[in-house]
Amino acid sequence: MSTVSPTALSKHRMKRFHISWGDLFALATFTLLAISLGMGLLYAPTELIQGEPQRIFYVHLPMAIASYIAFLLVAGCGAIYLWKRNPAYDVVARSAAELGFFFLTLVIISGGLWGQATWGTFWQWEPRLTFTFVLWLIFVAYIMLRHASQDRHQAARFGAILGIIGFADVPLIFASVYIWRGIHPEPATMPQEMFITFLLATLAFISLFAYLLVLRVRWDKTRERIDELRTILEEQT
Amino acid sequence: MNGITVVYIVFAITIASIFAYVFLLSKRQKESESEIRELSEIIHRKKDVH
Repeated sequence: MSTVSPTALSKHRMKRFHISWGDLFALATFTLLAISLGMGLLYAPTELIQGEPQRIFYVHLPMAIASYIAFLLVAGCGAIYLWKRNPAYDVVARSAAELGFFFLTLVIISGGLWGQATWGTFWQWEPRLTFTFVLWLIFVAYIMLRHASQDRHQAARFGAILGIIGFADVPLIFASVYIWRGIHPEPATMPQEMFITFLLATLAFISLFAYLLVLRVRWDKTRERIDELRTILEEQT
Repeated sequence: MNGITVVYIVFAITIASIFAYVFLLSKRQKESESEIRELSEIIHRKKDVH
């Protein structure tokens, strides 16, 4: 029977239960998310006009901010890719696009349910919702383009252009409530408890976006390694 | 639909979607890593044969 030395066993255990900085960041992110959602339900006061459904605000707007940061990254990395032709920027751009799309879809769903509870309608073709839908469609097109195209460099170029066009829609979403005045209200001042909850939730969703981006970029790089190995294998045969 | 019920529904959809996405990402990562191991083994075996 083979024996294992206590030192080797302890090293094996340490390796098995090794906690990385990434794990700590994930733990901090999910703790912050849980605290902010809990505060949204229990700590923040009930809004006088809308009542309880207004608490949806603590996920709706932070997710919208996270998606806008994602789209800013898509446009920024896309522009740098077009300039430098460095594929690393394209990897970040396409990962951020998927995440931005993910958050924006949740924004539309949460906003629809909030609208149903307060305005009595899930959807209305008012300026902010229409521009948001246009942004969502642009990123549906972006993701379809990235999946459909066989030529990686061409897809990166077209994706970069589409990402820049898509981001141009974000200021329109922001300005739409001031210019066209739909059913979306203009930003108003809020009590301190509401503001602290909103701030924490925003921080939690931005942190979540950063964590998911790292995971998504890591996967993309793994896929690139697979492509490299396949090329080596093809050359061997 | 009750006011607080819709809040719970939205929070539940958000949390479930986040965990589903994290699960999907880690599943894809594990699958890709095992594919890399398989491909590396095949390449090494072919190199040894040659």
